[in-house]
Amino acid sequence: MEKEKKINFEKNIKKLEDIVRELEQGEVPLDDALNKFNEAFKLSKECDDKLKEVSESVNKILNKDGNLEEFKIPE
Amino acid sequence: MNVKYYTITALNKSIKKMFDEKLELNNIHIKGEISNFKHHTRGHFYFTLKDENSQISAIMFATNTKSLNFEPVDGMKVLVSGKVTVYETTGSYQIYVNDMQQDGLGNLYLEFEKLKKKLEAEGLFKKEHKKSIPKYPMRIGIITASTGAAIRDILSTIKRRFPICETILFPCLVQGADAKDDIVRNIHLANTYPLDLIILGRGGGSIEDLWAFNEEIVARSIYDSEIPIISGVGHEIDFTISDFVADLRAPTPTGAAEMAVPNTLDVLNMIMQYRIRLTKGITNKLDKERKILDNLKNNYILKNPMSLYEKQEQNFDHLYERLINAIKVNISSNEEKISKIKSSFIFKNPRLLFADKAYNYNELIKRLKININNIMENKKNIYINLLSKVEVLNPITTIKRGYTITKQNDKVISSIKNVKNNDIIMTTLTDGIIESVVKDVYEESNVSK
Repeated sequence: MEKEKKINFEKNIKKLEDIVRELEQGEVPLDDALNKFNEAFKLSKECDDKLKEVSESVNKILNKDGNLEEFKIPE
Repeated sequence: MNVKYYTITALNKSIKKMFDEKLELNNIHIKGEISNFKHHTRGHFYFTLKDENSQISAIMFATNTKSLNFEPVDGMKVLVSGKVTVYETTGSYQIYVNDMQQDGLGNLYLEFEKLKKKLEAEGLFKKEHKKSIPKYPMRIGIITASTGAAIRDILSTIKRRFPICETILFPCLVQGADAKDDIVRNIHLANTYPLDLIILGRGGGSIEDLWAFNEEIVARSIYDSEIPIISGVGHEIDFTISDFVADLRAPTPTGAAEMAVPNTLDVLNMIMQYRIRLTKGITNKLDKERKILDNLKNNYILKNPMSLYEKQEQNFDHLYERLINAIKVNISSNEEKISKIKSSFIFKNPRLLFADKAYNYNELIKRLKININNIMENKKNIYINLLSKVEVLNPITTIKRGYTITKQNDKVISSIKNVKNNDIIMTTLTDGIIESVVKDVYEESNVSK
């Protein structure tokens, strides 16, 4: 699930860029353009929300037993 | 005589004392070649140092060997520092080494250049082999020591710039003889995790400290990594082989983290810009469509739909008129043709056609008769002509005119060369044959004389 999320961010931004360029060229038929506009706005909101997620950054360390455990940034 | 006998222990102790009192032996630097090297299971090194003529036993304790970034081997030229003293038990003096370096850093630079050239020739540094670095990595693997400045700098930079990114630290030896194998092992290990990116880092140090990052196996495992790797080793000025093979080279560990992740504020700003452009784009589109619609609404035809019909009505009338005219013209031209045929001379006097043919017939008969007569006359003349020629050619006729035919053995003689004296020849005349004997033969020229 985590993996899913991270692939989406990069893909969403790319899709967003593509739609912005397409709409700026003005060649898309109106119906399509409106659909794309809605899609792009939704994508931008998803990315925005993701970036603003209030969460402590997750740092882990692979310990000697091969398990991941939390890692605090050394002072 | 009272002789004093020393014990061996006392002797060795006394000799050891002599060594230890000599200050220059307490901290001496010597250079030589290693032989008989033994790496004891408890970590101590036992070996011999020698030059062309002499040798000395050497020992290096485990506490000192740990900091070495290379494994000594027989034949290696080294610079060592230590203390020369006596091992009383065996009565031998030896050097206790506390630091050892490979002789001549020049060797390391040569090795570096040699490996760099080799890997470059193999194409390991080529741009086309570099994997692209994701712009927004959400999970980064960090291969470095778990303590020290490097990991702290990397993590705090990522936290400051792009806190939503997760990190996994793969704690790793970054100096010493075992570092190269540990780095390789951790690169393999990191590749078994779902990571977007790997940062391979180490803080600054001497060329020996950074040496693990100049090892061929490290370079090859960076090259083989499926996950893109950013290297950040040492300081700005330090270049390692790992830097050349990595998909991206950062000057320092902090630099590697800065290159790895974007700044969240920049990304948020970018998304806002995209929204503005999106809105502008769709507004422009709507304006354009509205203009087209307005144009259509104002169109003359749409406003006066009957005008479409009127025009067609007019067209129809025009075409109808043209059709009627065309038919009329066609009829009158055909009528004209018919009346012309009716009024023609032959049509009115059909007999004239026959009279003409009869005349032709009589004329042909007449010409045929004349031709036949001409041919007959011709043939008659030719016949008479031929008859006279036959008369001339007949040999009998010739004989009648006084000529004779002379033969010998039934062959006609036509030249004097055909006969010689005393030949019998037969001459034919009109009324008989003369048999004669050749008396003599004369050539033409002689006869006339």
